[in-house]
Amino acid sequence: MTPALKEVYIKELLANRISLSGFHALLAAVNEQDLSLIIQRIYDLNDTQVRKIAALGPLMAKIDAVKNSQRNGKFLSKIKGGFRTNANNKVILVEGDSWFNYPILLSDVIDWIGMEKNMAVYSLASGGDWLLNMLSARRYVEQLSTMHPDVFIISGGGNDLVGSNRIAAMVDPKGESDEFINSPWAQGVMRKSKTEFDPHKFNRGLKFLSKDFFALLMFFQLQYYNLFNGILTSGTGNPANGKFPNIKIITQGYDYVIPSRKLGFGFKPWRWYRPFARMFLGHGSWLKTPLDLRGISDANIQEDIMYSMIYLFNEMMIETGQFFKEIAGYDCVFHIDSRGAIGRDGWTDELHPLPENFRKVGEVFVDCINGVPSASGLVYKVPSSTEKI
Amino acid sequence: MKTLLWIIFIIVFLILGFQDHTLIKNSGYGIVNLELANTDLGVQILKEWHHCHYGELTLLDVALNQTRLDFLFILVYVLLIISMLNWQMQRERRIFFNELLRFNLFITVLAGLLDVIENFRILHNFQHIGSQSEYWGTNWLSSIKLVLIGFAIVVFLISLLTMSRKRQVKRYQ
Repeated sequence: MTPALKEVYIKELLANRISLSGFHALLAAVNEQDLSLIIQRIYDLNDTQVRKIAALGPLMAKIDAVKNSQRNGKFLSKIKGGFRTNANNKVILVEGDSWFNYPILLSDVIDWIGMEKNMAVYSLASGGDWLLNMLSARRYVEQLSTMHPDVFIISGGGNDLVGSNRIAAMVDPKGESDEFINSPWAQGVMRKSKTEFDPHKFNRGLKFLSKDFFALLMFFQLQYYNLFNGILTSGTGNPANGKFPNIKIITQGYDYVIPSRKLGFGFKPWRWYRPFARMFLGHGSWLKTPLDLRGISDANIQEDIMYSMIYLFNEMMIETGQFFKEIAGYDCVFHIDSRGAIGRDGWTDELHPLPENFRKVGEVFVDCINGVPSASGLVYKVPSSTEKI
Repeated sequence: MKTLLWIIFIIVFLILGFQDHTLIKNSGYGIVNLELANTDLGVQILKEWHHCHYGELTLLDVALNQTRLDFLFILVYVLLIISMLNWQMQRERRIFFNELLRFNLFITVLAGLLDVIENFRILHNFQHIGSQSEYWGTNWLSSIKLVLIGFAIVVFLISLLTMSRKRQVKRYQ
């Protein structure tokens, strides 16, 4: 692809008007410089500013590191005990955000996976981390090449969307957006969708999604595509060149989060951490406040916006997995679909489930890692909550 | 981190133990006796320590040093228990125990805070030897603190021991 054509496609992507064929051509041609350029234009910031808002706070980084150090100590002791001599055992490399590393207070998804006897988990995950950071720091590259894991798990994108009030820039407060209808890419994703959804909530939420949201989703797909292509084909598009044959990649896409500022006091003293987390650890500031900031204060509309965002994010991830089934010729990129699994009352705060619900998600990861077949092919569905959103 | 905390815990515990041994040997009362004493006994213990010499110091000076060092001990034992609870939380698959271990994080911090308040009350009493009206009781604080810490440790041990037993049973099946 010529640089001029690439520039045209990037402009169309940013305007949310790129054709499907143009987007697919861009998927194969995009490089790190292009990705950096795209995110600067989506966020209207220069590279230094983007890095600055995406950077983890030093205290947060230290606390995350303590949890990773505990996990990785456990990993090493398993390895030293001859773990890899048993072919049924799985070595797992993890990169991700707070669903994979929520320090001290909660037992997150990876904590539950790490309790499995046949799994040794090496974690690079950091609560609050942006996908952008994970992919530019490339800490997983060194670990992939030295440990040759059986499974690579990644969770990212949530903080890129909700960190630093970014979500305020992803919505159209008038509620008259036709960006979904006019986006060939989004229409393409929805055509392939097999997941049930509430059309009323979804369509109402769509009316508030700006072109920047769709540009960001496409950007996520470019990033994930780039990452998986690097792992599975060494960036060549040919699986014969891949350095990690038979590696299984697993992604996840969160559940329908609920914007809220409620403190969550209740009659269960053992759930003391819920009001604690809500009072001191950012609850309300990720979703509710940025939406209020744009004048979207109706709680139902706020919920619907998040519903459509999370729905589309998951469909984008599922589609990315499908691409690699075609490229590699075997099932290699799986998706854990948690949509509808947590329920209205199953959250610790705006973004993080209660430990029992993290466990529910973790159990489905375990099934996927162990190769238990899924009724939905590459997608493993976490059982739905009985309470509907 | 955990190893370092254990080392500091053991060192501070030994120093506190030595100081307590000195108090008990010379007066028959240790710091725990003072913590759990009612007003009458508390005033009597303080008088005794005030009048009893230990080298160039009095036993009250020894108790004062011990109480100051106890602030460090509180910090260390709270961090150590939190770290042990957290370690066990990453192994405990039973959601009831997992949640109970998490509840104990709160219990432990609460116990530490009560211990700090208790120490300030003891330091106040050191300044008002012999006065019943100025004596601030600590027995109720100490009792609550000990029950909370005891609860946290018992839950930790039950979780740890029943988990290992369950694993052993599985292994021999």
